[in-house]
Amino acid sequence: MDLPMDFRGGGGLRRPSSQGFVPLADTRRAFLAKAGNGFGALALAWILHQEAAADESRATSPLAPSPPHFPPKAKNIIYLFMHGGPSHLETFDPKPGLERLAGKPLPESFGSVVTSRNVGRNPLLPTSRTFAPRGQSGIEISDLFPNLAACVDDLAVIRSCWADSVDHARAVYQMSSGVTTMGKPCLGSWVGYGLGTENQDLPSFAVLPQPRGAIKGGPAAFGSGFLPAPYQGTVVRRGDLSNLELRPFNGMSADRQSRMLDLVRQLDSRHASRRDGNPELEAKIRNYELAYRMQGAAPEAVDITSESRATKALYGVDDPVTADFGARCLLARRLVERGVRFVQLFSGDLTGWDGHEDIQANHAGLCAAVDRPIAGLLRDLKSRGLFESTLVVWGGEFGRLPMSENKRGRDHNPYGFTMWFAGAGVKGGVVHGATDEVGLRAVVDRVHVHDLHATILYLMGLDHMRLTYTRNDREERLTDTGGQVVRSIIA
Amino acid sequence: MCGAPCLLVLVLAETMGLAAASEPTSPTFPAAPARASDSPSEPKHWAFVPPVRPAIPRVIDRSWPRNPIDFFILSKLEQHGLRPSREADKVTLLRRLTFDLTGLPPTPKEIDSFQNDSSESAYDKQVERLLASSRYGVRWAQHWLDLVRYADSDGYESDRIRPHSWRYRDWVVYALNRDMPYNAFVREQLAGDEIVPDDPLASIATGFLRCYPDARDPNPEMRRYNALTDITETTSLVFLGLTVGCARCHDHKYDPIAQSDFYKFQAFFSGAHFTDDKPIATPAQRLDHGRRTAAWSDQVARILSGVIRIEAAGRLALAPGPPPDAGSEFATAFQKAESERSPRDIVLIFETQRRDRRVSHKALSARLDPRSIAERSELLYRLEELVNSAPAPLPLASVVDETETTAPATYVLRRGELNARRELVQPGFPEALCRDATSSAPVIPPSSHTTGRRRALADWLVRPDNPLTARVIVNRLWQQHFGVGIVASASDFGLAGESPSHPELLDWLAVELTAKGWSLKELHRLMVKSASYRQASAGNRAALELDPDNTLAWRHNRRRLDAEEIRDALLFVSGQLNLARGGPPFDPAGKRDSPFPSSKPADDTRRSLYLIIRRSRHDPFLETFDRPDAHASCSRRPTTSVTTQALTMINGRLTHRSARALAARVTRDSGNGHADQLEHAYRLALGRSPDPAETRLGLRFLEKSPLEDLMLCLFNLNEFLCVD
Repeated sequence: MDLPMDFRGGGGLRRPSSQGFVPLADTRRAFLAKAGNGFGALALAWILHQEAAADESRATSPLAPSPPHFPPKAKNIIYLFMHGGPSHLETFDPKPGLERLAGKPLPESFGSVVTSRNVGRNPLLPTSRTFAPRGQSGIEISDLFPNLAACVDDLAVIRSCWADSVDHARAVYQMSSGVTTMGKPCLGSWVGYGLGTENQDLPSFAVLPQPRGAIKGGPAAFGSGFLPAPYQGTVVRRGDLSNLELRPFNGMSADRQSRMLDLVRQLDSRHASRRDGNPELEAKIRNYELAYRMQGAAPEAVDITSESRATKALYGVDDPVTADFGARCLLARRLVERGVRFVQLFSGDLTGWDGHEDIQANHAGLCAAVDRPIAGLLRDLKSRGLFESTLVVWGGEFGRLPMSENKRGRDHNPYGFTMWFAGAGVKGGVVHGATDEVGLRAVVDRVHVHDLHATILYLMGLDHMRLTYTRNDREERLTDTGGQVVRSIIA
Repeated sequence: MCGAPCLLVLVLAETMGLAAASEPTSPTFPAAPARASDSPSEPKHWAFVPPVRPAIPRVIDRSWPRNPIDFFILSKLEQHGLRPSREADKVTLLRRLTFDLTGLPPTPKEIDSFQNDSSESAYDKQVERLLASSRYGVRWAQHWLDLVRYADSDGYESDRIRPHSWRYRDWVVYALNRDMPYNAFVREQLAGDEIVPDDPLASIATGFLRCYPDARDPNPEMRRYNALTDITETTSLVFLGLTVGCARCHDHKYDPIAQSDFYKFQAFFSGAHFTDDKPIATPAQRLDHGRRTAAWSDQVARILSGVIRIEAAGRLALAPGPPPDAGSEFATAFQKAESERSPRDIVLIFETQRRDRRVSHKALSARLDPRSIAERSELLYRLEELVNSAPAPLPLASVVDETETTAPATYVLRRGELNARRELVQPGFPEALCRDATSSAPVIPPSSHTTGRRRALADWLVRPDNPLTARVIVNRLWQQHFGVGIVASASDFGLAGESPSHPELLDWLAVELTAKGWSLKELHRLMVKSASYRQASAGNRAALELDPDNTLAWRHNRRRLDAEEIRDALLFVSGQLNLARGGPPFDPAGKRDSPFPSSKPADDTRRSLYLIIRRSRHDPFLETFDRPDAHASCSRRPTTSVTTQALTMINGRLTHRSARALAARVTRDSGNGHADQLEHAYRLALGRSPDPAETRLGLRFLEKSPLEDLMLCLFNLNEFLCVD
């Protein structure tokens, strides 16, 4: 190859070898040479050869599908990120012990606790929610999630999660990238890097933030870090792929654009024909074809108006309380249905689930906004046969402390909190691990963020120890130096 | 991270005849088995032995080489039975050379003058012209800034803007343009304040040590430790091409770098103060500033006096006596005659009266006649103008300096954890790079006000017997000119790095650099004037089959323009590029939180080097074309080819605006005839005339589509986006 278009300098997919010349390129070159009759034929030629050429095209097309390490349980992920830190004590982790110690300080036997707002000695605050056993499995869920409670037999509830930082931004970085520092690739980017995407007409990794409000830690929370830019998340806002330039800036008509692209193709082909052995030229020609198709495919994918009234109602799109999150959950389903590998939804603006002042008031509002949409999503995935191929993950960057803050609020708790998994490869109706008597720390079968990531990658067919990227000669991975797959929740 | 074992570790260990590396999940890191050179019987790793000038190899075809580089290249080719490629044509050569040295395409005029120059020295003249151009520094500063992970903001959640970083960026441009010898370039960045204490420019150079991302951790000790760690890693990567980062927690897995070596290296920086607003004005600047400030305050005082006078009678009538919150200072000032009052008195009176609640603006105005009101308005208007044109504050810079001759102690930290102190260490160079243990432990005499540590490190880096510094920088230059370094892993010359493709050439260049007084421009000259560089990029079957990666350099490596080159070329070709150099970055977002609100519309078309770099919010266009994210040193950018690039080129604002501007430029210069327009546009964008088939296609296109669409088409051609 005559262009340094692989990744060997900046770190990369593979180390340089002198075996870079793949005969397949000849076949493709022949195809392209003949494809003087328009973009359609060109694309077809490429699709036909997509799988066979996966290895070779990987060097120039970073998102071409790449085989997993072992047969995957899940093909896609919908990650529901409850931004701000939802309380496990009000939702998925009932603590009668907290009831008993209500108003008392944390017993000495628990030792000291580092907290964000110095609430370590504040009186313990029991929840005012009621928990009840649900479904066949009898897992207890609070009354904040009446709709989701009906799906409990599909959930694997992990009550023993823990993380490393009491600070939002750092905890968000860790939950998305494994470490508490900024600038590392997030989970969605790693998955794209490991597997590529099935539908080249759409991005591999879509981010659906709250329409108004930012994320603590900023866009870096879904950045690709040191992985090449193609692996970063594409933000979809109000049904628009805002960081993709899908429409001509000058409002050029479709006719004019297609004439322009046709001339580009003709001139590029002439140029390529004068240059021997240049897969990068072909990659470029192909990208223009894909870009042209993405202009049509992407707006269609993010447009939910064609969905039936019943489907919209299932997600709560018809109710002002649930309309926003419902529409985004519905959008998530449309995207995974079309082969988008990773969809990350954020619930909560800059404050989000951060209930320092009044945990009940804060959570009552947010749970009402997400409960019906999430239950609708799980049901809809099931009815469309997508539940077997889609992994759904729910959780925040940490949980909340059993101590009170401002009498009715709760401070950040990275020492013990709950997340749940559902869908592809996940055992339904199980509980993994437990926190202590008051829900302060994870104590039984503890699951660190690295373990969550290792498990998610495992379900996608990726070994977290082998999914590495060389940067400044270090083998970087999502799980840093840790990571154990949580086997007990895998079906 | 380093703890991740992988196939690579095992393979490496195996190829080196060693046992498999440590257990993957083991919490401790036993001494790495790969410390090959520990054993006295084994020779030292090639890169850790100082380079010696090798003999220039013999070649069969003595007509091809133009300078020593070519003998090294050709002798290898001949050994493999290969021939070099023919020389590229003149247009291609000038386009390649101009982009490589200045980051911009050649103009049609420059191309004509080169083509019409049939003298022997025609090409050399172009090389000299471009190396002398100030655009050279702008281009090559970009490569350096990638290495030092330069940004205009802290990074992390707050991502606070660094208002003075740009002075370091400008220093790099300045140093490269005047061909500051590389040894001085290195020394000033590490210890400019210690080496030339009275030179503000040298102090600015230490901005190199201030480029670390900064989380502003509430724990100041942690924050400082993170900074020192980052500085240690980056210094080693940039100048030595060594990855010492993993030695923070454990002995290096491949290289003979012990964990203690990391902390000994870090100890060179432990006296450093991180000063964000160091005054860097020269005495002359300070004098001039003082004069201008005094003149300005006099003007302000005169205007305020006028206002006080106009309002005096009205205020006296409405509220006699001093305002309630006025102190004795006010009384003293107020009692003075107007001509006796100092500017300070006047400001005090003015501000105190403005706060006087007893006098409403409305009531006061009612007591003034229309002429007084008009006069007052005029004065206040002038005041506003004056305030906006206040003398610019004296320049400040973000630097490292020291105030004491002793430094806080440095400890080896268990697993790199701040509170897990092990033994105390003194500053020392990695032993593997030194002749013996004694020479790795320098005796450092402090200066009058500093520890002298950074200076000692800088001096060691540029010593003639330092095995790495010269090799690493010549390899970086080679990489930029030839596409791949002689050592492909440009920031890893260690055991896990790539072996050099032409080890003798690398050593020859390294020795040549020091022999030529560390002049980088001399090295550029050698490289771009070589026959090796001047080869065409076209393939040839035999060579392709034998050496598809072009490791032997049998042709020139074609490359896609990098992000900044694409943006700059779009603006330049369409006649929009604003070539103003230096100064604060421009901020197209124009956010209120930016300390650079003065960005003018014309700034939007400045060269990409001057575009603000925020760590948390990257410029979408540049990011799409693989600009690195400024979190860690980047020695070589990946070059990806993805759909988003196509989308941004066919639909984006930059290309559409540039297409419109180019269409206007072409029409202005060559009228409305399509054929002339086509010819002119091709020459501007691609540096050549269209061939007959291209003319035919273009003319047919213009029957239905406007000229700007054709311009957009040219920008989207591979030929525009790549250099042959």
